[in-house]
Amino acid sequence: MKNHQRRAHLLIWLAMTPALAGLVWLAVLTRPAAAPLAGFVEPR
Amino acid sequence: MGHGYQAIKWYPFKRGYDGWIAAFVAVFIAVFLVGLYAFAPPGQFYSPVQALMRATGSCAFACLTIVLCIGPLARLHSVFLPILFNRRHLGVATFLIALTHAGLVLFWYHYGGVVSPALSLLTSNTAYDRLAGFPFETLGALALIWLFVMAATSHDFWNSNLGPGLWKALHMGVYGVYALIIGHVALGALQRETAPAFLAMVLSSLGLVSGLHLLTALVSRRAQQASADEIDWIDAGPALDIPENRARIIQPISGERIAVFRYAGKISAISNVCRHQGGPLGEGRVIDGCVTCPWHGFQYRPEDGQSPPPFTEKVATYRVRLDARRHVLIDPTPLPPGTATAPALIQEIPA
Repeated sequence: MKNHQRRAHLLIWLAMTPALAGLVWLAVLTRPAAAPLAGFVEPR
Repeated sequence: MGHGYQAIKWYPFKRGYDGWIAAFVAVFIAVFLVGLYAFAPPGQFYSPVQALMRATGSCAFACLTIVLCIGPLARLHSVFLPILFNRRHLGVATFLIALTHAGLVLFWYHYGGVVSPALSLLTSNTAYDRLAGFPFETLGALALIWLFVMAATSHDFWNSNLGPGLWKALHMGVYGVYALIIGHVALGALQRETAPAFLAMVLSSLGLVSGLHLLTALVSRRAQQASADEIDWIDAGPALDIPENRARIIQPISGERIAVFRYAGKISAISNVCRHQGGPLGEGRVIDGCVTCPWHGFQYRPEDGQSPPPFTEKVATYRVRLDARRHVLIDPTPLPPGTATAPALIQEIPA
């Protein structure tokens, strides 16, 4: 692995880790607890 | 397009590897199904298709997590190198399981309507402006398309034709796929599944994958700082401390890493970057007189960095010498790829 690729990996994960953790956190916070089927397309 | 197709060569290790993948998938799906029905909250019902949908989706997610962990694990310890070899097989398996998951979704939720199932999937929900009820299926579909691209180009034929740079860039898209899948799961399954096990699965995957990549980067930076005391020649330490037929990897202040190999009473230094896919040559061994890449077995002669005929790959070489303490000294300026340079002889005691 070349040095610039190694740096790219580091930057990608430094950026992605908080972004993805934040997304999961937001998604759980906005979960509609009273409507367990929300977000799913019902069978036709 | 001057590279010919070579059929995949099967041998016991590769068959065993695929056998372990198949066994893992079967056990995962079986355990998941048992757990899903055994621990389903009261009032929660899963039809067999829905349960399989969950099982295959979770299995593909688990496989992708393992695929992403293999790289940093292999860099942290050589004991993981065997699973790095043929990692692409696990990648292709991930695509096939994800494809099964997508097929079940299309069949169960979108088949039999007035519009085609794929169109129904992409158009039945267009609420892209909010998180609750977000059309998470689109994220999964995009991830599946990219998984297909990577699976279809995983053979060395495509690596040769696209070139290592483009091929690597294409396959680095796996990080994008992982981000899409996290979004797909967080905005999809996690909206409905309130059991903590589902959230724990997503968070442990994210923690494992991110943590391992960041830890590897940290270890790599420390190694770089440790060898920053070069003046002209780099002191690579005592020659006899390098295990026979193995290497020590040196990071100069500028430039690529250098793999310093000890073999047959000699010391040679070549670039640490394999021409095939950028594998770490310094983590490989000297086999039959050639440095052998731990990733896919590409070979180079240590004296001149050239692959043995009929292969034509070449890597940069470096001048080496021993000082009076029998420490290996490396000239950090790379010689052009394939340039022969005299190895240092360990038996000779320099004046």
